[in-house]
Amino acid sequence: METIHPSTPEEELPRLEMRQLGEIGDLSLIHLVNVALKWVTLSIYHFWGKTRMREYLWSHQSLEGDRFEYTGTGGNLFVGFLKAALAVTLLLILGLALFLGTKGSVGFLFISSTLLVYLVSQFLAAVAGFTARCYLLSRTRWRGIRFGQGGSAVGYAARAMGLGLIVILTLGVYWPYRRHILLDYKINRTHFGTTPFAYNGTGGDLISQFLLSYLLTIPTLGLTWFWYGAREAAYIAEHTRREDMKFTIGYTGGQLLWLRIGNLLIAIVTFGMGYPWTILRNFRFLFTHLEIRGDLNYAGILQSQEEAPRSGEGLTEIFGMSGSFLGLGRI
Amino acid sequence: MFEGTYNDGKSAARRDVRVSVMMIRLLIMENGGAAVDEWPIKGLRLIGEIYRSDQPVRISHAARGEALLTFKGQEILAALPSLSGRGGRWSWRRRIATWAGILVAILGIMFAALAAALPWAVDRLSNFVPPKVERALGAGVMTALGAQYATCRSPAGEEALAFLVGRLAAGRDLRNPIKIRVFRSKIPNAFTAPGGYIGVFEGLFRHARTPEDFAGVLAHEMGHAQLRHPEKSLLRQAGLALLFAALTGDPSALAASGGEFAKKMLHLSFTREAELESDREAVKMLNHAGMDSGGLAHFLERLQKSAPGLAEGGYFSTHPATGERIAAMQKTTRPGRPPMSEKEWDAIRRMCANTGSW
Repeated sequence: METIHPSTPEEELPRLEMRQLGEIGDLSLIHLVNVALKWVTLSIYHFWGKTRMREYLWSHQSLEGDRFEYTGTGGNLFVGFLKAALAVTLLLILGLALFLGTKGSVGFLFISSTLLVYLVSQFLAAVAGFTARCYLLSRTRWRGIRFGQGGSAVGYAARAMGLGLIVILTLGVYWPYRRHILLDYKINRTHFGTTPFAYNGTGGDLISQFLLSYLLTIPTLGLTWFWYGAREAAYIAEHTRREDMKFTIGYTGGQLLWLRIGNLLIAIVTFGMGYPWTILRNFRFLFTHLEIRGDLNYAGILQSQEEAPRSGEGLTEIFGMSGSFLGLGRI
Repeated sequence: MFEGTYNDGKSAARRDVRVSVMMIRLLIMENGGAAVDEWPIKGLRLIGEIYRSDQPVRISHAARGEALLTFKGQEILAALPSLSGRGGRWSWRRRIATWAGILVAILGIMFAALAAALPWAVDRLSNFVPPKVERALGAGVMTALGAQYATCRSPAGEEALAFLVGRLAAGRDLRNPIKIRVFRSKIPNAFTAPGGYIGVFEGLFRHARTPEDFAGVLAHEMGHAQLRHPEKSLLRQAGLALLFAALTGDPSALAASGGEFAKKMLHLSFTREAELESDREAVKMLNHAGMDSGGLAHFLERLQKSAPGLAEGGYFSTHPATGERIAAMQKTTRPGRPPMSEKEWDAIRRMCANTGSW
């Protein structure tokens, strides 16, 4: 008994309420305990601490009054890290063996092996970013229904590398095209239950703003990028859909700048202990400016049968990235 | 009887339900009375920790997949004591206080132990680095510097340098052969990179007025190379980065320090002990070769007088107080024959003559 949705003008779709209800006090205590336990365990607790933080943030994130659920475990993250560490170590040993076993001038070997390590690590970083997103989405539930992301990490990384080369050859001008091709790859493979998200943005639509930012970077001391960041966020939201759900992001470059300056000041003044505060600021910032409209047909949102990854995010730990939820930065 | 909502984990639709706790199971019924499911109490899991009294309670079950019960009130926690063990704001604030005390103590001890063990470990580990890797690192440093400063080349100068190095190194077991490169720059500077690479800046020829002075500085750098100070310094920095990453619990610090590695090689600094050790080694080398070994002390003395800022700051800032070094050397220096002929010294000094002006 599928409900047929007549095509209503989008303005009339009801607004869905999305809020972050977490409190700085609670999150700071979690962070404090995490830092302490990490010290004692020589970092091993890192993965469990991160999980606890996410559990809190997810279970205080509400959409239409229902809270999200994070089902990842510290064990998953730890196993993922061990796997990635093993892979990277083997790779380095292989690289070193190749280096020591090859004849040639040391200078040439130094440069060529540095280049090789750079390329391989760029590739792995792209794989890491993609698989981390897979893991994070598959461990996120709302009303008992899982998010997820299909697609192949290697396919994604190959695109990221190939297009990255064009970015270098075009002195950066190709960057927005690459960005939106990669976004297209990720968002079109993202789903909530069985319903996929859809993205139809292209770099060409933002190229003039991008070039303007690019050319004015030096005279404005880089401030144009905040303006571009806000423009881009609005564009991405506008071109993302999930069935008839519509997203709008309406912050300005100035607001984004203040958010970042505030976070920087907090980080400096608290010597990094204000990290939970900046996280909450980011969440609240996004959900104040994000408008979701749509008509949720709950009975029609069905659980996907897709198998979720068993361990996660190992590579991102090594490459100093971290999973991000809706582009909220490091969590 | 507790009022809540039930999601079956198959669709996002939800039902209002009443839940009662019957001995070892939860009975879930629709408001009309029809049974929805029965969950054994064993296997129940609280979703998230409870921090506040207005927070909804959510429960799932190990054997019920993604199904989920949500309660607006927290009364059900009292009926399920096995669940309410987790969380609770006040209880875990007390826990933190206890933890903090223990932690500070453990941390202090651990940090002191690690800091003490690091130099010891570095000395032993440095023997396991293959000489080829050391040479590659050094070559990388020289390549990077070569891009910044022109290299001075003249067959006569290079021959004179090689001859001097050969006599100084005679009878010594060097892990890597010494390779010298002269760069065109005003700085009166010389440095040692891993793998036996020594760089000399042309400015040094101006400040070192006699062949004895120059031989002294060169012998000092060769002392660094012989004692493998650059290699150990790099290992120590890598070790510190590892320690730092472990203490802050941020593995990304390690990755970042990997990128910093190359940069650090250009700004190697040695400890006070390493400088004094190198000075001693230099005097020994010169004495063994029968050369005048007072040159380095003379050079430092003159530099201290003519350009005190240069002697104590800049490149030399990492060196121990110049006066201390001079005093330490003067006990063992002795006169000897000149390290090279006037003709050779001229050839070395003119190495950059054809490399253009500064």
